[in-house]
Amino acid sequence: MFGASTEALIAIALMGAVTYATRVAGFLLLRRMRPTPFVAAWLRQLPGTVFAALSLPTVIELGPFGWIAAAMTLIIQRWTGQFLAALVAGFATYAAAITLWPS
Amino acid sequence: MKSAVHDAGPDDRPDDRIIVSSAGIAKGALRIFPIGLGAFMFALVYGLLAGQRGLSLTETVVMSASVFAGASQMVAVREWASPVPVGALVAAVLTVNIRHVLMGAVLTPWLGRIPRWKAMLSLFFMADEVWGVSVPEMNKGGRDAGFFLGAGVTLYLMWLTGSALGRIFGALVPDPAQYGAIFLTVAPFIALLGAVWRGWGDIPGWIVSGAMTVVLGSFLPGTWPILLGALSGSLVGAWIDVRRQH
Repeated sequence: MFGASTEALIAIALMGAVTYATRVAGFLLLRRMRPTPFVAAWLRQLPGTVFAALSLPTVIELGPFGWIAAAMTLIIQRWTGQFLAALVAGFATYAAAITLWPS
Repeated sequence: MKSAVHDAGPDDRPDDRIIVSSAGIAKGALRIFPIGLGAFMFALVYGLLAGQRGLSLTETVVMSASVFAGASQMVAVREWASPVPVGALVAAVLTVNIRHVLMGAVLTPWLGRIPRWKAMLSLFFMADEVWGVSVPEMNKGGRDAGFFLGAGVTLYLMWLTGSALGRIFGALVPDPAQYGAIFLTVAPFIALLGAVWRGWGDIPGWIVSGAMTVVLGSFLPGTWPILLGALSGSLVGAWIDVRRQH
């Protein structure tokens, strides 16, 4: 549990360096330049489209129960703003559905 | 707020000066705390998933300590494998965290008028929620940029604690494989969609992203389908976004 491989730590250090670079880049560089509306819009869109790329293919695979559980997750997240509540609600919905209506 | 993006000089009136004081640090720490409880719970989930994906406690906590960005950490944990796919992990983290570039730029009225090293230090702790409480404080005329640092360090400590506890105690949670655990692998990202949602205008970009990922996944290896799918979706979403503003 306590060990860590060297390659893992190197990867993590690189991830940290890259992330810190994103944190300082705006302050260091962009204050002298203004991103165009399109570039700004594109940067805003990126996180959501990454999450969609990571989740929609599996949701499609899981079929109707997947869609319903996904909708529940989204609704609870929007309604409560609580990440844990959204996960529990979505998972409970999916688990209940496949238990009650096994295919 | 008047646009005052310049370094402080002898012509500035005294009330243009920005300070970093312990009072500001304390104020920021208090402001972030309730939000930090939510982040703490997110960290618990991150720790749990990291353990399930094979990360050790050290790796889990060191990632939280060096990246300190929950959404990208979730993505990284999902891609975790042995041997560690360094390129894919760095690309994934860069893509999800690129929004920090805009966030850092917005805080220039504060950060541009304090000693450079304090700005660079404070920026290390700039998470979404930290930025989220600091921008209004700055815009309503706050003069103490210590607020930003105090909020950041506080959230950081809560994030590390949650990550460690989630990793340690998550191992005790039985794997509910027969109850559809596969949904749990995508549930965090669906919840994150809910968190970043800004309106129905986001939907086309997300659909394009998901659809392109499915199509590309049928012949491209590794995380390329995800990165290219997200790229195409975000470009479509940006185009729609810009068109709607005109």
